[in-house]
Amino acid sequence: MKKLLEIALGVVTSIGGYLDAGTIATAAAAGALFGFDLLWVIPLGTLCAICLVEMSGRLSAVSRHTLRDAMRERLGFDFFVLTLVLGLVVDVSVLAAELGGMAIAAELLTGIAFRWWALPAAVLTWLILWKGTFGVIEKGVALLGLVTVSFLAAAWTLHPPVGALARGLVPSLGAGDRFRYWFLAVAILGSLISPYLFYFYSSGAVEEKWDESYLGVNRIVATLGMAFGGIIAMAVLVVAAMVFHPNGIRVERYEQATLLLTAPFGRAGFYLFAASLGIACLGAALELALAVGYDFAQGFGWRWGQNRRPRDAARFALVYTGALAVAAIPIALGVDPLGVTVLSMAFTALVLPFVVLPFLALMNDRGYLREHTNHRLANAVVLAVVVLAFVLAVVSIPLQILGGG
Amino acid sequence: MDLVREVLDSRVLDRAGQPIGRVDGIVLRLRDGEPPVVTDLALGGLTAVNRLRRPFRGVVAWIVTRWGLRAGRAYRIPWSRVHDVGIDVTVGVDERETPAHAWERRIGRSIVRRLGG
Repeated sequence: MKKLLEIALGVVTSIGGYLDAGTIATAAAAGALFGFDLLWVIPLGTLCAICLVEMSGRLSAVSRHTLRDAMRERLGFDFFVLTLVLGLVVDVSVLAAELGGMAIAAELLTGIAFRWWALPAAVLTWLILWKGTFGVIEKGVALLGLVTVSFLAAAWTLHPPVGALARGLVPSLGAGDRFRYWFLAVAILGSLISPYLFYFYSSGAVEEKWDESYLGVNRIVATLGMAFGGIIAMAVLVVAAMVFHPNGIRVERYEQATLLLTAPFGRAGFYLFAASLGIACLGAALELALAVGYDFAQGFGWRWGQNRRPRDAARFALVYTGALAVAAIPIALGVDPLGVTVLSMAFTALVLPFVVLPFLALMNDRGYLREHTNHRLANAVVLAVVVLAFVLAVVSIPLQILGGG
Repeated sequence: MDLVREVLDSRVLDRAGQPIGRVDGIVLRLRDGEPPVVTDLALGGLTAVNRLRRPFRGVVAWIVTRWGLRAGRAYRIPWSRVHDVGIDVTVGVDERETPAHAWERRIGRSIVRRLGG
């Protein structure tokens, strides 16, 4: 019974915790510019995320070590420092994007410019981490994140043409501005296959004291949770395709994106959008700040854990505090949050190979996984994701230059 | 035992199971005509820094020497106090004797407690 409740809660919180500023921004931009044409990217990214998240959870449940622990122990200090530095740059930039999303949500509700909300957003995130437990963060905030199901309701209300939806699920080379098309494809994948997701999930498995008996729970939570989350991401793109694309509206500011929910729901949609954006970004900000703390603490062998009081894991707490402070700076200075978001997704794609490649080694290490190592199909999937990650890394910056404007 | 694979970079736990760092280096005593023996595990300090590539080593070494509690000196645990080498290395040391604890205590008192943590 307890495991069933864990599964239910895990799936629900994965739904509520999957959407973030990056997914909303990139999916909305894709739907506005290209209609349903980029819909196929989301199931692809979600499938990759499901596989890697399941593997992260399996590694941690069997070995009681996190992904970051295993990377340091098996791949050495040099690789650890390289991925730590790259990960820090990416995580802090994505964290800035999430704080920006929270600030924009506050601006929408109050009319006060977003830059004045940067510090309160960072302080709110910090307070929840400082005073809350892992359960409060993972379950409480993610349950609130179920408000993002309003995008699904909006998509349903707008009655998208089934034929166009089906065509959108078939990969295409894109029409019109091909550079922009592929830039958005890369950015969407970067928002879905986010490194912090795997580090956070694997750390959570250790925080929640998962063991081998949780392998089934892990599989179900990873699959259903990410899948339902992917459906909500698809709903954002579909709504954008229905609301923006026919009118030739480009989403260049978050304020324009409120039309996503005001078009189907009127005034209530405005508040739903603000709530969805704010809560989704808060959830992601919490995960990102923790992921930075986990990276340092686990890599250097410090005490860590959201279930410890900050004074009992002082270095870990100090690192995530510092990450939040630094991430708030660009937003407080007035840097456009949407621009930060899209750029950070391209950076994520750049470092993805360094995150995904280790899975090939670690998931076949019997020292960690004993008889639960990857079978051939799983290894084939990881290899495919590694190839995809390298392709994304190679094209992300050129596409950012050619198609990111 | 494969020292590089099984010991180097492993997490070190004290006798109560608390993490006190990672094996950043292994100290060997060389003997004429015989295999070297492990004498100590080295944690922290400049041990790990010296494993970095040259461009980064200098800056990080300066930071560790300037700001570290032990001015860059590694904390050494005699091999005789290693109880178990598995997925972690367990040693017969109390965390309170280690620099890890000193760091936690220093940051805890000077910053974290002042913020209500």
